[in-house]
Amino acid sequence: MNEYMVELAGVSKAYRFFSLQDIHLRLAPGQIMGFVGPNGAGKSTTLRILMAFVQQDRGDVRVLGYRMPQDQAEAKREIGYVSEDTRLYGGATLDWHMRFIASVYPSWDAKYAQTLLHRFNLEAQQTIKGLSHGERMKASLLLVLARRPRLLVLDEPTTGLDPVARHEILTEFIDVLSDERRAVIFSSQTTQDIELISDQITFIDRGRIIESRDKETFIDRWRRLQLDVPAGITLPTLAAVTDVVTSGRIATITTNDFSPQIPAAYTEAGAVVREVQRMTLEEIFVANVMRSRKETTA
Amino acid sequence: MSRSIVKRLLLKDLYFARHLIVGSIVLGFGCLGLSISGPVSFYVGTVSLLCVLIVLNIFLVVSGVVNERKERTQLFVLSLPISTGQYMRWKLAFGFLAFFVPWLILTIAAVVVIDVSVIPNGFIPFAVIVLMYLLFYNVLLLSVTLANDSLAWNTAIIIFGNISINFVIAYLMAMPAVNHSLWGREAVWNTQEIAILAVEVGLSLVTLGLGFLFASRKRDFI
Repeated sequence: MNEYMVELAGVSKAYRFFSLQDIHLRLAPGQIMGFVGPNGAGKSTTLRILMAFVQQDRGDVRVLGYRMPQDQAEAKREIGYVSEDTRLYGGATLDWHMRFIASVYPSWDAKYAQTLLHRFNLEAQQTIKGLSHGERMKASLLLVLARRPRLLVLDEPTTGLDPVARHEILTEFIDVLSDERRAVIFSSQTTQDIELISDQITFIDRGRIIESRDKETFIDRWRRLQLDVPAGITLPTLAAVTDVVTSGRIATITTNDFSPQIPAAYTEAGAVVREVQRMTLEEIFVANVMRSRKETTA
Repeated sequence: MSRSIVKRLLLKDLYFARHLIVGSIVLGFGCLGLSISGPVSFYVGTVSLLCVLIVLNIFLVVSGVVNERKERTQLFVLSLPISTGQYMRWKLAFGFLAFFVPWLILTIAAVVVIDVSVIPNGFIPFAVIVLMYLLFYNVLLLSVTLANDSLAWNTAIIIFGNISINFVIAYLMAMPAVNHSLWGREAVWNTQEIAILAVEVGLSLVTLGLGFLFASRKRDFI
């Protein structure tokens, strides 16, 4: 049995104006992976390859040990997929959808569905077209969560939701992980959501994975230093520094591999280290993307 | 398990298309009823019957395939435990059967109505050939729409189907072999009529087969 819930190795997919290149990803049981990238970065394409909606040109995709797309029907029994783009049947009620899903999946948990219905404040007899965007997302999640899939694949599930709906949904994801045999992979442009619930974070930009680590490592290693650089002092070039911005005597240094040796090296060169700041995930994400783009164009 | 899911998906599509299918059959019977009440109403009734079947064909394909793609309910369905190949084969099978059953009922009803009414029985081969062309039109529209995501192709086939039926009728009427037997008291199938019908059946089967082939090979669904 494969130890990873999701394993992508060397996955590529070319379109006319976009290509996904050499994607490597691994997700272990009990983990939530946040998949972050700007618009058009390749998040949805990667997740769609993972679900076999789109077939890769090259590379291996294994989900829950099943080869994709070959064994997709078996794999999908244990995967719950919700996308911001997913639409239910507008003319049918949520109750109809619940009965339909219950007829397809023997694992459907009617009691849990009722709990979610109450928790998400949804009316089973309401037609889908009468629901707001947030309610539609919650309805889609209810249909997925109540069948208790081992893997949740969520493509921007919190986009366009109000803070309360976002909180309700994120809390539910965390609950899912109380069962350590399950895992979640979810994409978002909102780094706050990712920061709140993810164990692992993967940044993607322009079809390439630019960094993938556990959240604590990201937060620990990325730092911003504020330096006072007296006239005539030249700052040393350090390998772990990704960006240097100077404005008069003030220099702002960004590093992706912080260690006490970095401020020490600047102090030794004659600069004064005013502040060493931890960065938010959003700042790390932006710095990472900018660094990657600079490297690509260099 | 997949087979039972395909069955449930067929039932789901039937549930959503039920009003359209039943409504078309009822309207079709209404048209046939109208066609036996006089020479003018015969013309109005037969043209209306053709319109009902054409509209049924277009609506089934648009609501079952195009809208599912456009409104993104396709993502919901594809996330169920079926393969993309099964999805395409099911769509093709349902799109065909949902049209074929009302078509068959109305075709049999048309033959019976001609047989028992004052309309000359010589019209039976002509009516069957024209109605068979509509079945070919269904298979063509369905196959092209499933194999190709382009709305332009879909629209082109609809325009082609709607216009070409007029040419088929005009061509048949102009054929001496068809025209001579049209007003006869007995339904007589001559060699040319049988050949035309065989070509229509053959084209429909080939198109359906190609539809299955292309549908099974499709790799990307979004």
